[in-house]
Amino acid sequence: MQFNSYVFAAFFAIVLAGYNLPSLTWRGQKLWLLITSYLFYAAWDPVFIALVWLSTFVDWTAARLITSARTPARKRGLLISSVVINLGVLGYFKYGNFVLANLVSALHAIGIDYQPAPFDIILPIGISFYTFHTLSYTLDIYLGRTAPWRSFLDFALYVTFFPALVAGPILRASQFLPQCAQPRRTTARLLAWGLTLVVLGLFEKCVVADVMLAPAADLVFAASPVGAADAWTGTLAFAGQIFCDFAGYSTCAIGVALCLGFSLPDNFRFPYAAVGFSEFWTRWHISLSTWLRDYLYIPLGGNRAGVIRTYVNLMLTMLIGGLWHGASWTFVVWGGLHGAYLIGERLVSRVLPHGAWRARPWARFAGATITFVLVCIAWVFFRAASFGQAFAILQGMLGLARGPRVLPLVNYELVGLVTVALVATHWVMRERPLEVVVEHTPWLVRSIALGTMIAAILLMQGQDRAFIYFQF
Amino acid sequence: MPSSTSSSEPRQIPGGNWRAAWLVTLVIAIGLLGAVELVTRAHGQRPSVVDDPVSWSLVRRTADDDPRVVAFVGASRMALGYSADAFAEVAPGLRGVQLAIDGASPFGVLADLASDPHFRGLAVVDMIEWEVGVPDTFNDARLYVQREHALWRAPGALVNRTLAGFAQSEVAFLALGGRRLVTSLIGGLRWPTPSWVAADRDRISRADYSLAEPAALRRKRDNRLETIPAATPSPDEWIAIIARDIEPLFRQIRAHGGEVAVIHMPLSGRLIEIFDQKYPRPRYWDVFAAQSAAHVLHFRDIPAMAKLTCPDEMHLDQKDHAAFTRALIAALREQHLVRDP
Repeated sequence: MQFNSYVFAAFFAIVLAGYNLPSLTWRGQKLWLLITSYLFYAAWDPVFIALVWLSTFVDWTAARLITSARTPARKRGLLISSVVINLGVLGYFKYGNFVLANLVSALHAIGIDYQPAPFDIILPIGISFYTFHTLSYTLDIYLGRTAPWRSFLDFALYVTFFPALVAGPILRASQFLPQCAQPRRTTARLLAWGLTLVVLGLFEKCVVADVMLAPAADLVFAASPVGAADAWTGTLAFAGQIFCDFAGYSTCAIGVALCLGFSLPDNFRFPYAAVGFSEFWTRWHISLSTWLRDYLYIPLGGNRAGVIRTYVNLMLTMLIGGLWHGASWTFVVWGGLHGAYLIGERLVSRVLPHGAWRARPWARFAGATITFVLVCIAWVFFRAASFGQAFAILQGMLGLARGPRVLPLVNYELVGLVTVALVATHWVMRERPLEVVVEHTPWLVRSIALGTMIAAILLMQGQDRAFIYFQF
Repeated sequence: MPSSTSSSEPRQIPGGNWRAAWLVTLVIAIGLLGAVELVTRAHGQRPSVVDDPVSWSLVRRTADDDPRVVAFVGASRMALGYSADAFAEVAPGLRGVQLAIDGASPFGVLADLASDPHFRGLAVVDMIEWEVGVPDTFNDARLYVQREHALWRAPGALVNRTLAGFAQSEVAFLALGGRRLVTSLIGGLRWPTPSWVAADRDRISRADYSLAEPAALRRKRDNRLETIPAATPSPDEWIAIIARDIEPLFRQIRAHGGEVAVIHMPLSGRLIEIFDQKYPRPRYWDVFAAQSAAHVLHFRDIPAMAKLTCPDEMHLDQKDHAAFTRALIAALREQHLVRDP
């Protein structure tokens, strides 16, 4: 069930009404949310709800057993069991076809013609997200960062909470479970601000990403060869689309949760205003980057074991982060490029002299521009369906290829307009929380903006595109 | 979109008069949408329901276990030729089911009906010569057929399709398409021209070519002529392909109590001239008609159909689809394929 669907509007109205029944206790409200969260997931495919139950049961049990285990070896064994089951399920569904295809290619390269039976696996929606939810709980218990939660109902709701179930933000138990301890209700203020965020998120998704940008990206990434103007326009279109699509989803999720009285963590902080890649990753998909930092980069040794080892850890973390997005080598290269950018940034930082010049506007502008351009180049691999396609786009961007014009004129206008507006907004807002900006906006201006956005969202129906991150 | 809080603490809620703000917001949104709806209708746009595999599946389910069913199979020609009202008028004891899919050859749906022992009705198949022997032509309807076979696996999509159908059948601006609206307004500084095709929730489509701009219609006709395959199979090859791939489907449907009628839909203008040159009827269609296990009809043999003209050379206008449907039912009745109880 997508936030930009008629069925979600009806579903959410029913959830809100049931959740706020005066006769319902806090336990009853949580049970209602759990049941409706399962319905939310089952609306896509009821069969795969069993995987959510498996993930819930495995980590709930593992966490309790780890807590009661007497020896470190047993604790470690239980942790490994949980990790193997979780990543095993994720690996089977998400990477089964990928592994098989690579095995066939490898065998073919050494002269063995192996033709396995088709391995038709459906990727369960949101599996990468809820697997990371539950894994983080067991890892936190093992590392002693959190105590096991007593209520199974609360834990099941943490795993399944529908606003964040299929595309994040990736929740930590320490962020969500304490919220289950105190009764919550929908208040007029929460509803007003929550719905405002939902409208903002849907506007980003339905109007900016789907209508204004996606068609240009689709046309360019299906063409070859591609000239410079088309290659850059298509890449900028995708850079805007992926942000507005995913940040739009996260904003909706935060808004929906807020209507129910729950607070979800931020996932984006105007990333296209980042000066450098370290900063970019504190602003882009924050719940994933912090997850990878806490459960992968730091356990690998982080930056504590020397310069070379730091670089290796950075690269490994980003490669795995790339693979998390999808079972394709193009995603691995995307992660590898970001790993290289992070390493390069550290090397440059060691060479460049420290001083006040770094804070000067021109230096920051140059840093932000270089960061944005390199991020866009990495997006080519993220969007392209194959390396051939990616290289065709890159050749076009570098002016090394000429091709017939792919895009109608209106696409250049739209993509140019939206890109300038998007980057300018990020730059202006980079140090300002949205709430503060809205706080200082007269209510009539808010109304005009919101009313126009609602009208635009409803007018732009019909593209029927799923959120990009649903496939991850 | 970021906000200031990233922990489990309650988020900061901007202050102000939210009640008034939302009240005015709704007034503005409703006012804007109402104005857009008025302008859209004033430009001639009608509400239209988007067709998709879920809609098709819901209609497909109604075709089983009923010998009174007449299932219309084919592409946009059949979709725009069939009139549910005319059918109900001339065949009140029968049930018409629209299974035609825009842009898809009929063979995928025909194969689905053939493999379904519960289909016991009459399949009326819209087929023209160039569809025979095209690679992958059976896959055109694959998404639709697969969806129907696993309909319960996505209950959310079912409910969504139903709700969307209600909205799309009432609100004209939903038929504009956001992309078309934006590109028209920004690229051409004008309101989008209305779509000449509109569909209702039962997948019944109507084409009103009076809404089409002459230049757009001419472009469409020219583009279609370019897509006619340059190489034509010889008559023997053509008949052999039908015998191998399609005739078994006719026999399968008849084996489980169904019937099949194949109709060559009306074509006009340069298109029918090219067809006459590339596929001379005595060497192609008539040979097929003589050998087939299905009942084969050609629009030229039915006087009421032969005089119909397709404005875009391939599809009937809504002013003619009732006449076409009446003529079709009369022809089927002559062949004793349609019997009112």
